[in-house]
Amino acid sequence: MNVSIRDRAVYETLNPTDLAAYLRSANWTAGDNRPGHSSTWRTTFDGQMVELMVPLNRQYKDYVDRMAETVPLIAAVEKRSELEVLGDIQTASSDVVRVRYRYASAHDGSIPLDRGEALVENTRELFLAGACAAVAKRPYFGNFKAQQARDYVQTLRLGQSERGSYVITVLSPVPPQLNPKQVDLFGADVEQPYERLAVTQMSKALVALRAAADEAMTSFQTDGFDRAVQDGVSANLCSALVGIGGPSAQPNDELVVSFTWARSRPADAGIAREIVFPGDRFPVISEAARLYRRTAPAEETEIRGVIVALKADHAHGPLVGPVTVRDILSGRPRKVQINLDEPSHRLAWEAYESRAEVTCRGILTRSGTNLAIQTPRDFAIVSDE
Amino acid sequence: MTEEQQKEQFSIAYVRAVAAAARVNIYRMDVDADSIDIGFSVKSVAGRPQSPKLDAQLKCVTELAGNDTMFRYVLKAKNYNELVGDHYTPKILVVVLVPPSPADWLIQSPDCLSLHRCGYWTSLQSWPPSDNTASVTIDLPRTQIFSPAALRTLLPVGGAI
Repeated sequence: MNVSIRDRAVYETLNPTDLAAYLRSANWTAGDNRPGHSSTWRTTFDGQMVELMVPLNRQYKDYVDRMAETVPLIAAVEKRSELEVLGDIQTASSDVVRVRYRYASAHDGSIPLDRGEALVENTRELFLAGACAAVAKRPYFGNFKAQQARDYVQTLRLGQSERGSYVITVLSPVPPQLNPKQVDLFGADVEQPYERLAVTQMSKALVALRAAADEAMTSFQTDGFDRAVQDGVSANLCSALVGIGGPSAQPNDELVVSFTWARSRPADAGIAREIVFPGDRFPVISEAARLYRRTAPAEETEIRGVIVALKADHAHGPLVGPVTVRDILSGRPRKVQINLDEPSHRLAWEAYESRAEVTCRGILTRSGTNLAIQTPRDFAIVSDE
Repeated sequence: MTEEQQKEQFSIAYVRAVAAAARVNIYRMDVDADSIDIGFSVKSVAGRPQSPKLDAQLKCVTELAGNDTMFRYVLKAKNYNELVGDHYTPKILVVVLVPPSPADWLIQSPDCLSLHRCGYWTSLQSWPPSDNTASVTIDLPRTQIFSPAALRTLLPVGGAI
């Protein structure tokens, strides 16, 4: 579709850094660079030299007018649509992951409204699972997830919807490759930033999960899932996929996760670009998630919050007894009970009276609806500083 | 077509004629409620303008006050502030003066095509920003006629078309 982009708002928000990353990856040659003013790029078209100026100073009255000239010129030189070029520029510095769930019953690419929220939330969980596996491989990531993974997920952005079918597009910003010598003989990045590792780990894990699911459906064995942990598969990853499909997933439904790497940082050619999960794999993947959780070693977790209840077991003698903390670290506030030793219990009284927050580590267990920390350690009052 | 639209179209036609006679390309015709913005370039590649370029804001009026050497033109404050200050591409104001009656705008015979009356240009880039909210009165030198020769002077000669 040949569309001329006339919306000034598009060019007001077009990032010169993304534009430069795109031009560099498209083999335009950098010319004059005037910091704080503009950069000039050159290429050839039909034997003629073409020059493109990227404005850098928004104080200039015609900054947006000049920025609005860049996309049409690039589109004309590359003989592509302005929309395609604009999309590539806006994602030049990001890995783009597209999660598409196709309902066999829907022919127009739409999805039920009440599935929309679940689609976005579970896509986030998918990324978090990949990011956690990039730090350490485990069958299940409980409450205590690596801070690096949690910080990374905060940087992700939801891209614009695309024509054709309902697709969640996630942009994962990645630092540009500044040193071309950072690749080995096969063109693979030898010094990958964590942002790239997290996404490639998710790709590898999805490939391994698909293989394990296929094996389990034919052999009725779960060994493949055990081996897949070393490739980054976890209960979290499995649950996220199943959550995207929803409780009414049909065998003819299809979930497709595809990857487009940032132009500013080429990726290893051996990493899968697209992984497909037919709807009939979801039951066995759901079962894998349950098995992972059941067999995973108990994981230490951290809780934090104010003390909402505490009591002493005995009227006389050591000051010990259950302390209930309203934990806020898990996302949704929840009450967690801890049995502390006497010194920690005295600290708990002090925190309770001053309404101060406390932290504690230990193994989180569930008995019915009650949550408790076993083998607590490092109980402390959170400092205001 | 309203009278304002008529004036807009005629001034665009005038500027196109001047550009064509000067062998200069016209690009990007943006029209909003207050002005017409156009651009000129000597060279284009892949159908897109290349440097050197010149931007212009176009106006069309039926009368201009002033004296023997200078017209005085009342410009909307918004348009004035768009023309002053730093620009990547130089931007001028072109005011096309036409007769009050559209019937007198174009005279044609087998020997001659005559567009009435004349366009004038000025640059406000060195003028200071204005705090006025309504309008700013500017000088429009009578000697600065927007002609093919003037356009070629404003755009450095040397770019191949």
